[in-house]
Amino acid sequence: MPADYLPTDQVTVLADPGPFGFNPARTALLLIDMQRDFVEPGGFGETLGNDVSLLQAVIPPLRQVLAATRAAGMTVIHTREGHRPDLADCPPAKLNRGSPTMGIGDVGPRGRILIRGEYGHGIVDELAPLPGEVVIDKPGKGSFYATDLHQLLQTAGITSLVVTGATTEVCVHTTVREANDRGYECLVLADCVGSYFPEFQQAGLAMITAQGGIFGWVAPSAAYLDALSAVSPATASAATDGERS
Amino acid sequence: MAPLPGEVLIDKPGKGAFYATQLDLVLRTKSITHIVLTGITTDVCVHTTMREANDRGYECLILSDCTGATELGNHTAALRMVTMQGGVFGCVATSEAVLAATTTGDHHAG
Repeated sequence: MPADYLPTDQVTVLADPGPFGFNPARTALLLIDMQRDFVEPGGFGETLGNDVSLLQAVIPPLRQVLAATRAAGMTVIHTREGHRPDLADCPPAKLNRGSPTMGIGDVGPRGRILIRGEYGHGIVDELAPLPGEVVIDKPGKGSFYATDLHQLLQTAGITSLVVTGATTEVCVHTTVREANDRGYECLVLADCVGSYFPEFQQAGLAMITAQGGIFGWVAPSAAYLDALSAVSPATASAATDGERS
Repeated sequence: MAPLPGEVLIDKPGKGAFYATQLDLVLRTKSITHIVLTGITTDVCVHTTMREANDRGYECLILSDCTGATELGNHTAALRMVTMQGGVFGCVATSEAVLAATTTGDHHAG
């Protein structure tokens, strides 16, 4: 949906450990690694024995958040974890990890695993990037290392991030830590981040808000949608449409 | 714990020891490929540094009894996060295992 209204009022989300205030014109929604291979049944993630239903559960609330954020005219950024086909950007320390039977670059159920351009490397259809939305291809867990994310955010005048995606304790957490060190204010939406392991979902969120919010804030997506609709009423209907479509 | 003359001291503005510091440059200049992590706190600065090191291609070992956190739950969760999925961030061992390996020269222990 094309944005015709970009609220610049300060928006306040009821969050933990306290209110999270942000200016929509200086805030980006980050969708981390919602790729077919991690999220979809029959993909690489499930092949390794993981319960992908825990990541599937993220899609409906995240669709609402995505639709409302687009309706508000805010910046939307997607990331994908993956490597060049020749693995020139995959350190041995990463390549030699994980399952001995199926690793990075091997042929998996959705194409070569974690290789850019393969079907499984793509973002799930429900959250597909629109033309003009930035897609960051990252070789690591963090979205900042060896990418131009920081430069893009600086150029766009972004100071705050609303963070969503997978998985909570790995790529989401690493990215939030990087963002925090770089001076960005981060709000993590609890029901829009997912982990294969419920224990780590909980521990990951708790680590963010520990010690008065050492890495940022955590809130349910409903609190974010409520806050956004207060300054941009169009976002409320967009969120509802996003849920249905 | 006081640094000896000649030991590198990195002043860092954030939680991670790599961001906005010369750590990566120093390590690569010394051809360092493996890092043994100790210090505080397990879930905040140690974990952020380990994640940065992992993305940069270093092999990491964190010592469970040489790290600590303000909450025991965050300490244990942080250690468990390291070893899941075949060691997504590296390996965990005790200082005893490292000391045993260093004294016997068995570099595969731990």
